[in-house]
Amino acid sequence: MTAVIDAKGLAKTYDLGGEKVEALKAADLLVQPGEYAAIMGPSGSGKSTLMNLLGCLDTPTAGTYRLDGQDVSGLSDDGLAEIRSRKVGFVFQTFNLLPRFTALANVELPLVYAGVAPKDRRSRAEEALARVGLGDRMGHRPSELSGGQRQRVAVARALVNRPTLLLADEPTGNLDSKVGDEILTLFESLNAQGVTLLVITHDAKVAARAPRKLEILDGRIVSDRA
Amino acid sequence: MRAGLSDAASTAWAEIRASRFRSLLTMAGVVLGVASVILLVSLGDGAKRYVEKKFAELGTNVLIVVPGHSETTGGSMPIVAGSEHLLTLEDAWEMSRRCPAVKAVSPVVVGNGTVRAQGRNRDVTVLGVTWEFQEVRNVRADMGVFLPKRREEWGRRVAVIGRRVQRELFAGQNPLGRRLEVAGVVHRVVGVMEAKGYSLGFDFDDLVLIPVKSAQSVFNQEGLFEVVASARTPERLDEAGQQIRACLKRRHNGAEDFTLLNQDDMLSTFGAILDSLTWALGAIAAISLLVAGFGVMNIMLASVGERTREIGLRMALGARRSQILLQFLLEAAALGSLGGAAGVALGVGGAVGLHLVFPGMPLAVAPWAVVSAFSFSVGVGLVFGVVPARRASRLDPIAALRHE
Ligand SMILES: Nc1ncnc2c1ncn2[C@@H]1O[C@H](COP(=O)(O)OP(=O)(O)O)[C@@H](O)[C@H]1O
Ligand SMILES: [Mg+2]
Repeated sequence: MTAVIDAKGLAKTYDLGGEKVEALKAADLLVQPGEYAAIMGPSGSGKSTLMNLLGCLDTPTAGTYRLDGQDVSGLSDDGLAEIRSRKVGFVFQTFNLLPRFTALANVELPLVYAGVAPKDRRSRAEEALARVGLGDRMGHRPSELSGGQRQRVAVARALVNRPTLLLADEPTGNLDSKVGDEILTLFESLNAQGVTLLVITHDAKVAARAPRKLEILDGRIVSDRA
Repeated sequence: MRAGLSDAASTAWAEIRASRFRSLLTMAGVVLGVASVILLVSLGDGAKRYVEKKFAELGTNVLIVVPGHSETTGGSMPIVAGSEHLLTLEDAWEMSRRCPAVKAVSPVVVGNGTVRAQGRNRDVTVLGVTWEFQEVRNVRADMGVFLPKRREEWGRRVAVIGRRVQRELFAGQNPLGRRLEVAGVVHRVVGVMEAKGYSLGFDFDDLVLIPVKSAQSVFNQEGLFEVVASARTPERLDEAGQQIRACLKRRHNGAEDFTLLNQDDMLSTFGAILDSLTWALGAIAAISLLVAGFGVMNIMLASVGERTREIGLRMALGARRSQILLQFLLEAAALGSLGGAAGVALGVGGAVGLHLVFPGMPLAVAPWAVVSAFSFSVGVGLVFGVVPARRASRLDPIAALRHE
């Protein structure tokens, strides 16, 4: 079976005019299809840096990375964009919905860049919204939705292209704990349907729900427990 | 090709619709620019057509001789330049006798003076002409008769008056046979001209015509203002011109101290002047369009700044740089063309509206101006969209996503 994530010695060093910031130091990580893992660590420890590398938003300064069996190290900007489009779904702490567009239009967005024919987009976006329990809110704009509902729209958007890997960076960070729990429950039901899930958090309670927990400190993965 | 032009277009369109206010603001300059190009060019073009029409009223067989030579006086419309350049009654008479291709000739003296009848005054232009003037300039007395025909009667104190003069001085009563003082000299009204309105700078309805010699003595003028003549047929216009030129040169000891004008000459002279006027107006308006282009660029740049996170997000969702570039470029082009279309509507609407309010105003919406103003606005959007679009497409997705 091909691992979804197969990273060896992955590192990211920022060069701030002479001063080097090692945001991530030689991380090794293997994640199999269908896994649900939490990456935990304090603020500034390198969690987002790791997620950006795993999601092909950024390129490492050292190490190799195979996503779903494909070596992405030498890919061009366009190649990375294509990987993001086809294989990765992102969920952000701040939702990142386009405020002037309806929930449906927001969810259709990744389909545009994946080259899905316009006539198929709507039905697929509706299906994804129904999956996150927002079948009755499709015509609403983000400002007309609660925080939890907004994050559900974001989850639907991350799902709509049927990605190999779902990456969530502090997905409950802007939600109160009850709504945060609902979002985690949604993630878990998606994972139960086979989606590979990586949740990044600084909250131990959030991490505790995942079967596999990794801890990151000062850019280094310091523990990996099941 | 994945997510091609039509998707970029619909994304751009969705963005324009989603932020209507900003879009309208961006377009406002383009709208006004295009509308003013169309309006100003229409005015210029209309003025040209108006003048052309007026000159055309002159008739294709009419020749005008003015004293002085255009090359010696330097102006395009020479006016009297000295006693040796005078045109005389004798010149006009000889022109009518010695030029077979010439059908009719009338000397013209112009004076401005007060006319007076029945205790009422009016300041009018008085033309001293002859019977043949009606033939050349196509005017008729539809009441009474025109000025006397025979040369011996060129000094008689009779007058043919315009409609307006009749209305103002005689309050619409029959003026025939009544006394009319022209600059203090008593004339008798023998005819009233049919309504004709403006022609070549004169309001014929507000004119008084008297025999040429009478006018010379009333206004104490020795020479003539001009001599008007008509060729027997339009085809013989050149021939008539040559005969007149030869006849006058012989009489002036070989000197060409006069200028012959015909409709074509005046049309081309004034046409060229008005063409450059139209171009100048169009260029001024085009500059305002260019300025509007900078406005588009500015607002698009601000929009890229505001939408940095959105751009980062689109990239995270799989947008390639080229797709971001295309989206912003099309947004700018769409703003340009929407603004252009609205400007066309406003400009053409404005022209039509002006025409309704001021029917006399010469206005002609030039299709070429509409087409070029519209294309220019699309081009302006595209060209000035390049910088913002490149900036958007070059953003680093992570930095863009972090942007606050
Ligand atoms: N673009 C960047 N330039 C310089 N330093 C950065 C940049 N991005 C992140 N860092 C640094 O890398 C470290 C890890 O950051 P990050 O991965 O965002 O941490 P976390 O998400 O765990 O809070 C921090 O010290 C941060 O300041
Ligand atoms: Mg972070």
